[in-house]
Amino acid sequence: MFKSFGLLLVIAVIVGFCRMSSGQGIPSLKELERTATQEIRGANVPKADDAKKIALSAYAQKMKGEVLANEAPGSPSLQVLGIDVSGFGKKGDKVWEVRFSEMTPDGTRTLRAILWVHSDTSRVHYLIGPWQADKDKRE
Amino acid sequence: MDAIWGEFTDRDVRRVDGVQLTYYASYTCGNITTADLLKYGDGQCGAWAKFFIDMLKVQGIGITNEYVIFMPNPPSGIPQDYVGFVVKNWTFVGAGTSGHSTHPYLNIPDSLLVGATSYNWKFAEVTDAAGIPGQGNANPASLFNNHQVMINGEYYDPSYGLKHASLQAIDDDAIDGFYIGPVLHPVDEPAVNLDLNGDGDKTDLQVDTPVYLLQKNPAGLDIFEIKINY
Repeated sequence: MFKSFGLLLVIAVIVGFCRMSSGQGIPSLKELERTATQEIRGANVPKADDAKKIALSAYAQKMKGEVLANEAPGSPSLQVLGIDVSGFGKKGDKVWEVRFSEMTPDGTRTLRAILWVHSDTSRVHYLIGPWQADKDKRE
Repeated sequence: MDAIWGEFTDRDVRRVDGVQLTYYASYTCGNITTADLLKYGDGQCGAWAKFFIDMLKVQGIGITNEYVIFMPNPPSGIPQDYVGFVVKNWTFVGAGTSGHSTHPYLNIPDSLLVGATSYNWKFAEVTDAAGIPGQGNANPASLFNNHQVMINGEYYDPSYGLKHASLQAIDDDAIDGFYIGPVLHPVDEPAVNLDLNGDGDKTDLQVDTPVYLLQKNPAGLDIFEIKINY
């Protein structure tokens, strides 16, 4: 038992070291290039690229143009709603999740906003973003 | 409208107290509204675009869907937030050694890439040079994910006091190159004369390293735009 625990500990340390030494949070170019492009056949918003542009327009409009010069949407990921969201979609609907991030002076990226784009209706649901911080300040 | 625009073209816009307003006097400037540009005196492209539109609005000139944000078309598989462009002028040395098929130039960022008035690289085949001057600043920040301007038939770019006839003209006239980054990419230590993995020598090969990969601006339209109503 102690031998197994020791082995696990060694593996954990090695994995931890490898993660640190490979630049935490920065993906490899090969990983990015291998990312499969998702598509929903027959949907109104079938491709990730379509979802990205819808989200970008919606976000920029919501922010009244207050978008940083080093801010951009990431790759939309396909999600299935696990709950009903009033005015947006029902449990089981497919949505694109789009995350916006900003490049910081050290070159890493930090999260600023998350939006959902409904794959059938093109509706946008604003989960969290700078607009919320502004609202919180006012309240 | 021409008269208001004329106040931007000499890149000498002053606050009522005489302070000259600037475009990226500090490369880490985060001001993106008219109010912050006026308050702090320094702004990003978004602040300048809104300032110009606000100046039109106070004179009763309202234009719909006039606010434009443009970004690079990313290469296949690369997320939008890992691509950007460099605004003229940047110097490209040689043919590039990254080994990447479309982005042959290799830059390795320092721990603080964006300094107050410069970009910091441990190794660079592409470097910032004096180029298109901005408002109150001969060499403003020039490495971005996007740029923001105003459209009314033509593209008005108040950050630089320049007009462009089309998106293609912006691409051709303003952009020197495109980047992918930061991404981990294998680099040979002897090729860059750096100890990349911190083991005390400069002899290791194929060390995964955070890099920016760059290409010169290719012919054709390499950017897309969205328009919103400000």
